[in-house]
Amino acid sequence: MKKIIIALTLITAALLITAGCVEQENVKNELTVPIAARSGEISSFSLINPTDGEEVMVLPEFTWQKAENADRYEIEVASSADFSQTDDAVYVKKTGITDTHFTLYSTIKEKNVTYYWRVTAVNENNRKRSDTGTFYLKADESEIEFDVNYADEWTVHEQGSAATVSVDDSDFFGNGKNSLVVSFVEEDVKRGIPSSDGWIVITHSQETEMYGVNAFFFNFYYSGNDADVYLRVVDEDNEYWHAQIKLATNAKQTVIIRFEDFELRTKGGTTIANQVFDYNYIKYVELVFEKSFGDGVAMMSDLRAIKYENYGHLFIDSVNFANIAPENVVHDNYNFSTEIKDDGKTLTYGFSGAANENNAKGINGYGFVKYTINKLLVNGDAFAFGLECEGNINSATVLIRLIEEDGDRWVYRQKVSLIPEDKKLVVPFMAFTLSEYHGDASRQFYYVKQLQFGVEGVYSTGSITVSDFRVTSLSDEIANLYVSEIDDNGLIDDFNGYGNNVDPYYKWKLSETNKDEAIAIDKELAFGSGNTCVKLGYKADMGQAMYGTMFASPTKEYNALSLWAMDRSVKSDNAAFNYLDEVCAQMIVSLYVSTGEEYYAAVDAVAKYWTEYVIAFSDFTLAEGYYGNVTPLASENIVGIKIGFQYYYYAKSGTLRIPSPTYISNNYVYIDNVGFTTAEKSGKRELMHKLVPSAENGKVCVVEDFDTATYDTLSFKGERGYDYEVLTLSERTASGEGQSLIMGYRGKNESVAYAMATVFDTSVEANCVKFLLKGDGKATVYINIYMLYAGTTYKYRATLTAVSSEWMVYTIGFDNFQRVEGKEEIYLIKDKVQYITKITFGIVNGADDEDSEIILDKLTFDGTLSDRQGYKINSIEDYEGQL
Amino acid sequence: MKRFVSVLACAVLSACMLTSVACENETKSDVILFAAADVVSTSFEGLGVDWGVYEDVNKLAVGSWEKTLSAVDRLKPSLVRCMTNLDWLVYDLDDKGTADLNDDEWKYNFKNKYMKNTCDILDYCQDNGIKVAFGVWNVVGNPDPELDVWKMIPNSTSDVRWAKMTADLMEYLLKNKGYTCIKWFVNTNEPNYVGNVGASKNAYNNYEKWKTGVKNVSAEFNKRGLDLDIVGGDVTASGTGFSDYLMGVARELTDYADNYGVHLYVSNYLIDTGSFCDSIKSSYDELKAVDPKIGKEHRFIIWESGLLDGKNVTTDCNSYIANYSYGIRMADFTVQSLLAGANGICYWDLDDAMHFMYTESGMTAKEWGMFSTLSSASPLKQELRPWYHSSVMLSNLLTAGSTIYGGTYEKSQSFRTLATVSKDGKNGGIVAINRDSEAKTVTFNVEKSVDSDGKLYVYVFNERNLRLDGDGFVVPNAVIDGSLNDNVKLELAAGSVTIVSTKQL
Repeated sequence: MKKIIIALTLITAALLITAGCVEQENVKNELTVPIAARSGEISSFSLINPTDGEEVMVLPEFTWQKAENADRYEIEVASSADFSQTDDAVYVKKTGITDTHFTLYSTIKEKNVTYYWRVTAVNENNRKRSDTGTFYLKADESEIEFDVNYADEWTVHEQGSAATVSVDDSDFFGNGKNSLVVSFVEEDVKRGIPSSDGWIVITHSQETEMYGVNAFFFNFYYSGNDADVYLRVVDEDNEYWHAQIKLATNAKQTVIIRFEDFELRTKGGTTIANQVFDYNYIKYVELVFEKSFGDGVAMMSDLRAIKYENYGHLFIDSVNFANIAPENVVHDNYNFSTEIKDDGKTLTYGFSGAANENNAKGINGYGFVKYTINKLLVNGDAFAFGLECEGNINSATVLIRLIEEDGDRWVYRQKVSLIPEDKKLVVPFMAFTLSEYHGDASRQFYYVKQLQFGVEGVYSTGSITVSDFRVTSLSDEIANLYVSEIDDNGLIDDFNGYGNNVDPYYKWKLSETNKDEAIAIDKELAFGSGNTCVKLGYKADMGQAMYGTMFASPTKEYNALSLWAMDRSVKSDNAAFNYLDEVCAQMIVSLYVSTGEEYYAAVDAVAKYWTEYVIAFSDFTLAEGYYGNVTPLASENIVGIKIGFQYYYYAKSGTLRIPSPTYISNNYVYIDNVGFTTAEKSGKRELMHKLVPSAENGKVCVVEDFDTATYDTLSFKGERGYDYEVLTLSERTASGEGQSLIMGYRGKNESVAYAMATVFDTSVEANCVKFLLKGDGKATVYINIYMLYAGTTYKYRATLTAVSSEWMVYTIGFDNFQRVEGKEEIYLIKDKVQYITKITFGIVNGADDEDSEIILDKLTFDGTLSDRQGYKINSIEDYEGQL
Repeated sequence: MKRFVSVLACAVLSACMLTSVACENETKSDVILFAAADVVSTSFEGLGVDWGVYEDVNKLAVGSWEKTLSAVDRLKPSLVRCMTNLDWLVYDLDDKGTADLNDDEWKYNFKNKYMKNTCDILDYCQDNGIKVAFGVWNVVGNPDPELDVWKMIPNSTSDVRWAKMTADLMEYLLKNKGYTCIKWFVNTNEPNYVGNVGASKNAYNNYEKWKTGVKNVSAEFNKRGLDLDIVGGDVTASGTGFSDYLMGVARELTDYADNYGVHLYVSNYLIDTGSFCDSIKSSYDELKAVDPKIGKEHRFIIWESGLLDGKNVTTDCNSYIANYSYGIRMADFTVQSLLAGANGICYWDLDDAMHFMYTESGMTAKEWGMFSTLSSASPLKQELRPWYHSSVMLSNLLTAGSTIYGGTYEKSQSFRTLATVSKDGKNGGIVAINRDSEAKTVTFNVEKSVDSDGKLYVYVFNERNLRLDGDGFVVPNAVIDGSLNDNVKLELAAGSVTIVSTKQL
């Protein structure tokens, strides 16, 4: 019983306990959450998609077989087969995947790359990795359009000048697309902040992948002052790459710029990274305006990244005359005929000097045959072609004229007599000079509307054959390009040895930062008999015009640079510049040493007449940007020279002003005898003297009386170079005292030309030319006065026939000079004397073919001619002991 | 019999004692009970994210917007703080040549890419019932006085033009565009962070100017019938941010501002030791002493939240956002904030592509996001970061209107938890954060009846246990039959966030 009681008690207790627990369980079930992973051996499995090596345009959905006992999967995608995770490698890993497929959230911008992928099956204890699969992520290589439809997308750089950005929907370019319009006004671009005046940056951010394209295409229009405009992009590593848009002002342009023509911008603290244009991924597109002084507007439309090759039809690299119908022959003084040969590669244009309806006299004029091209030029910096002439046209000049997109006309003049023996020419674009401007007068040889082939100065029948006319690069054609030999005397260039017009362009490289850069060999204003110099152009409101050459070998032990210079900068005839007294060029000479450092020296106002400048090396300054251990300026280190010009002006107060963006075109500085020398210190020596009124009579200016002249300092020289063109200083004078100048010539031959370069002081008040002349009774003498005014050369001529064989005093009023060159509205009057640059005497005689001579003396400019009689007086008077 | 009775009584007593001991042990030591007494928040606005107007949508990868929306779809934020920049929208100031600012006129451009992006964001918020705090980063103008044409910076938001232009903007958004999702206006970002003259638009700002601005803006809103409250402060909750702005709001602006808005970026140390909770609570209690309505009618919302460790001051990026630990700590941040009484949290931020650092050498993305849609970003940066997934779990669980329970458990540096029950009582869940290096087994119980569908979804967040589906979104580690009202026994993995939910997150 006791056992029973105990048993009952225990059962009761157990039941109570159980009951209690049951009651508890009803209130709170206990749930244990199983989150442990599977275990056991994981079976092998294979990748399914993408198939190995599959080409895809976007990242695919990755799929794989299920692996037995796998709890989850890991997927890795990488650009390297070993799935390395270096900084420049693509690597993505995702873990904890419960499905047998996965889509990455990301995109990969590096295209045209093989990628690798693999999957690892994982459980609590084991891992099993699949084989590695590959796929090729191919880029979309179609053209890429950049949006110019929203002005808001473009921001104006706050640090630069202000500009307004808007969108024009008038189909301005006729391409059916909107245009981005950037406009600015003078008051905004000239805020007085030197670092940003005229600098405008318009930025559009557009992170863009660019594959399979290699150039930008867009329509562009610019109207405004001369400015440099760039298309700039920021690449993947934040480097700024820019390419200049070759502007055709006021013209609706089609522009194509190849990526290879973009340059890394290194100024202004911009990012320098790998120095490679990583155009496969760009971040920003920008329009950058520099030196945009004044009001301006630019429009851009249809900006695209393109395949250059697909636009070949827009380009021309050589002319096939057979494919282009010639336009009407213009200015046909020569009875032109044309013939095309060699599958269109050869053009022969024939002509005769006979009179026709355009040219009654049949002795002068010019003519062209025109070919309309309307294409972009392929990249190059010169034209190469064959040129042969037939007939007696040695005195003629072949003309090749190019009309640009903005209508500017540029001409290359090739004297027939100077055509090289191999009859092949390579003419740099820079050797073309502006003949007529309708646009901005800048050389923009990237688009040709028209090519014209012509001739001038023909007196007989002949023909000119142009063959294989093509665009080329000087560096491919010319050996030792831009290299000079320094002779034993330290001379770099005396400009005397050049055979053809283009030859200086092979030795001197133009910086192309200034649109008026040009080199011309000049005899007319060169100092010294038989000498030639070089005439270098620059424009005032642009960057320095620079002319440079490298040296073939180191120099000797010199310590100074020497050169002759004469400034012929002129004040614009625009009344806006009346406040200026005198304009003059600042010359900056830079010497470069072997390690690249630049040393420079400046001549603030180059003299208006020939002056020798000697600049000691010690007066050269190291240019900005070179620090630390720089190579010193010593002759053995010097490897090159650059001569640059920019514009200075003096206010009437005589105050020298800083360079100013004031428009003056066609300024020239004449340079000669550039070389190294030895000098204790810098200095200058006047080679010419300014012509001033005489002390006795303020209205008389003695130009030349030859009394103290020597052959070394003789102001006159022969210009033509004929053997019968001989100058002799003589004691045969009208007074029997002093010296005169005997000018030789030969009858029935081409005229001699004896020239004297002049520089008149502004105080000279002449209205006539007066001189003593003793002739031979049969010669005709041409007195030519040359004037350079507002960028244009004027030539005025007076003609004396059957010059007396006795000493006579000739007085020729300015009005008796006829203008034979220059604009109609500009006259030779006393106010213009200061612009006279040269006086020449030409002598011909058709009576016989004998050698003869004319004697000149007491050449004066005189302001005493009576106004009552007007200037229309030729006075030829006996010499009575006074002039 | 006496003996029998005695033995029986003894047995019963023993049984009762045994039972009692078992329950007591379970309750006190192993079961964390979330009871009515543990409620920490009943005016909960939910979790959200800073989704500001993109400074440059042209930098986005092709197709990225769709990806962004799919990510936000899954995040299901209750709150969005969306900031814009008025400099993008106003132009052509005409000051009439007078010093009187009242006659100034200007124009608006509401058709540009910035407004389009604004509308893209607000469209989404409107369609998905997300409450938006919409604001303007700064006053208009350039910090460089030489380049500044507006001259608004010296007076900051007290400038009379500010109220007009912000009201014009908000009127456009609310009335013209119909964005009633916008509930609050942010009267500039962090007005207490003054910065340097010439570099910061806040350089001359102070509480008085800001207060005037709030009153002016509020008056202008009222005049136009705009039903908008103003975020009280939107300040960094330290220094003058607390002493001037938040206390100022508590003292004198509760009629204008219906929430205390703070930005909190804290150190790992503060989070890891659990002292962040105390820190917030301390400030919260100070405010409560002045404004008893805090946490109820006057909500305490963290409009920007993040972690300081890993921040690069120069680039304004946080290199730790790519790590799982950032997700664990931000979950911990969330739990501690809610336990301290916060009524809502916005995570800083959604997408690296929204904001940039501008330097001489260009602009670089401020990398704080849950992902990057920048086309220039590496694939790794574009992928959904771990803390996106932890945020998805939290945001989906801790929805607006829910009750937050703090639970009763022994305080520890390495463990924090809370529970939630939705407003309709049909859903809820538990968040448990084990910061220990050892796994921990804990049993939870929610006292309030949760009328769910009998399933519990368990999610574990750490590098080892996070589970994703084929689209890269989080999936539960386990699904079991049961209820939150059961004793839910969990093994909390070391260094993990575990979430039990009555619905799929």
